[in-house]
Amino acid sequence: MAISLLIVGHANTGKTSLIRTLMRDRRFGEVDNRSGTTRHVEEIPLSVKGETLLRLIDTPGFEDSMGLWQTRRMAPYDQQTNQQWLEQIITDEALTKHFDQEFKILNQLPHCDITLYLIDLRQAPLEKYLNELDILACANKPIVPVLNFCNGEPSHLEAWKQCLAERQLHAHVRYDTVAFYFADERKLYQTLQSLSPDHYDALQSLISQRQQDAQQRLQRAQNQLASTLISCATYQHLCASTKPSPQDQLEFETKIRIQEEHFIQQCLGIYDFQSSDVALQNLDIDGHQWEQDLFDAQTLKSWGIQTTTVAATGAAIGAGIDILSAGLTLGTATTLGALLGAGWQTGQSFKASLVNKLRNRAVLAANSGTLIALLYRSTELINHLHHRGHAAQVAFQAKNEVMPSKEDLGRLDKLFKKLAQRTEWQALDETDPLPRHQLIESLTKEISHLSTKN
Amino acid sequence: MTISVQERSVLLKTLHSTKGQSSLAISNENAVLAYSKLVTNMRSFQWGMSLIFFLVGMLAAPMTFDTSGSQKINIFWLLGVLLGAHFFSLALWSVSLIVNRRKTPYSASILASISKHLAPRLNVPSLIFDAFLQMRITGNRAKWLGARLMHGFWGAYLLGGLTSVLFFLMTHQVHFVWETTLLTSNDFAALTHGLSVLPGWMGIPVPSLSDIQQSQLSEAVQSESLRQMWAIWLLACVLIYGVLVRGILYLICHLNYRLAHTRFLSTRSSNQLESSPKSHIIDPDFSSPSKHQALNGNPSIPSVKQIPKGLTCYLFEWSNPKPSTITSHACLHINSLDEQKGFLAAEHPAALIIDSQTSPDRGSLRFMAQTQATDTQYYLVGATFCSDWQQALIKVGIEHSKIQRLVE
Repeated sequence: MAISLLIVGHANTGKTSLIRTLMRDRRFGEVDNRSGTTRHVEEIPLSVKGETLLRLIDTPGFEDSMGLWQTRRMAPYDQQTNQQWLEQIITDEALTKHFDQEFKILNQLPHCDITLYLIDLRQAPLEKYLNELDILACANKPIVPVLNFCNGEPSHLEAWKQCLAERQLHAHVRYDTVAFYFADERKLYQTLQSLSPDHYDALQSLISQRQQDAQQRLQRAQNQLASTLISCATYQHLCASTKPSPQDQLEFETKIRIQEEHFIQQCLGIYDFQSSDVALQNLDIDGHQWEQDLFDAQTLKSWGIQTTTVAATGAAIGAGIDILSAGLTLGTATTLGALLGAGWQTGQSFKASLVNKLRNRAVLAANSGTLIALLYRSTELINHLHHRGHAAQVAFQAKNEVMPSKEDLGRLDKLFKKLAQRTEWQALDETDPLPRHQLIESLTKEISHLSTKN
Repeated sequence: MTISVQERSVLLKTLHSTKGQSSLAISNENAVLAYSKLVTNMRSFQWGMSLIFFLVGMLAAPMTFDTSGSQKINIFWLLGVLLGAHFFSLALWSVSLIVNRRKTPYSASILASISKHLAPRLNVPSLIFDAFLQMRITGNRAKWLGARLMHGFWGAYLLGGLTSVLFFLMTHQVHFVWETTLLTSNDFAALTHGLSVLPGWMGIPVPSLSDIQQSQLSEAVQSESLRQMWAIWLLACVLIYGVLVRGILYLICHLNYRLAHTRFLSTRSSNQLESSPKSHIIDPDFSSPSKHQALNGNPSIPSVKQIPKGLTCYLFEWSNPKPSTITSHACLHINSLDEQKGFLAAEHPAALIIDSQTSPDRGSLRFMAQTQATDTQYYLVGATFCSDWQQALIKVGIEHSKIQRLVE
């Protein structure tokens, strides 16, 4: 038998948001800042492998608990026990009109196992909130306070803790609609475990399932990024002549931008979010204009990446793009290796560059600086999505949170330069497993290092 | 419709993710139509090429029967000519399969140039053509598709050869002989037996040791049954070692291609780990939706920066720091029932300061209705729910002129 959790709280404290987060379903219910968005009682089963473990019951919010609690001290209710009051008040027809929403909660109280009481920490523990706790306590069911907006301003955490302790509510759970941490969710389930020992194993399997899902999503997002980076690093645009035209540059840049957009779309899909959830520095993913263009020297500078290489070549080409010739594509060592017939693959990419050289056509490729910027802003997106609550309503903006150090830049520059020579990986398909190669291993290591920093 | 619903949705997803629909300048229906046309074209190309290879095979095989006047045909030479090239290509393919296990056969530049040259010729938008290449002919799918085409064409060529050899042998009388300078007759016996194992399993008569010896280049005229047996043996060898081998490989590559294609489609289309479970409403709401009415026709309320000195200030259900505009005023709080009662009994006039950053609830409005009879000025602080509060206060009977916005 599944545990039934009654989710209650004052109007507009984030009950439906909590359910969205627990369900990983941003589409559930209706969320609005106005009071009384949810006006019905809805039951949502939370299943793992087809077995329902929790039944979440979404309720309308309390709006006039003070008025309702006043009736407790009026005749004839003042002579009754808490239980009797609860049973009889809901049959009082004179009160039904005003307390319709509250009665919907009271109706559910006897049928639930545990009550989750949501608190908006931005609000002080006013009497109207405390009266809600008084009313809930009448049902003699365990109450778990859930502290919402724990990262909000102002925070009345200490005052609330004091009030909860006075009511013998010592175990509480933190939760934030916007920034969601799995550790908080795990603590919620662990609290439920201690309150309902019969369901210990079922809840344990829920915890491990959630943990596994989170790991799997992160892994998929990281793999997606690896294949995007490989594809961008190895992409070479063959120009019509020895001198790249603006048209060539545009085509090349579009190709790389499309790759990033595709990555963002895939990532949003993996984490089950919508395009509107991510505003990557005004990067409009519907394909309009980019403010923070990847090929803008300022973008690279904002990551601390110098683009001196471009100045050195003196070519009239945008920042972040290299113009390759046979000599540049291949390091001297690889060229020698190819000449000596050291490897089939080196030979192949050498041949391709040589053919282009003979054809007298320039080749455009992404600068390692561009690739580093792409790596950093993509891992930032992964980090954000990994911790984003499914009820968050503010769009995400990239903020350059983690800056590469000088050593990082040097190491990554080398890595991407080596990767760029592996043009045979250009045709790799994202659904195929990545080739087993030391370079790709280093790349995935860099990605997982950056995307699990917090 | 030549493409599945799933492929259709993945196609649209791919198109949308590569470029906004606005720049695509083509409707979903037309995009799917163009894509289906490409799929059909690819199939027609495959069948057309297979037919050509079949015809080439039919024309080429009889040339090997050039007996230049005599009716004798060297059976092993003939077999070598018929199957040699096929085995050579097969060996090359197997080696490439092992060597390039982790490599894809087509580089991006080849695909890009195909797209550049072929798309305008086929009269298909290059975006659709790129999507087609990406969805059908990329990565593992390209490898298996290429192999499937190659085996298909070889199979057609060998089948054509087999057909024409069959016709030739039905209408010509030839003697099958063999000859050697370096090898012994035992070697030929062993070779023939080795080749005969598979046909033997299928119940096809295979030459015995004496048959082989009788067929060594000699002047003796062969019997009809010996000729027939060699002919059937020859046809069986071409069928089994040529057509069947290619057929089986074609099937394997086809299945692998289908598998890679389905896997690609399913990874592309399903991003959700678990499907959302069904929720159900257990206690519906029957009240009339009065909450979310449009807030129009509300006369605007005046904004003030100061509260007149003579008024006692009351902060109603206040959680934020005190507004900077009233720091000089002594303020009382109304956070509990007793404080509400105290306010109603206290001397007036008073200023009631309401936090309009939070939305009005029924409990607060019940209290506001009670204050209606007192001499109270209402000040709203915060913009978020300002008009909600204004509307709600007027609804509980408070005069419009008593409500003001307090701004900093």
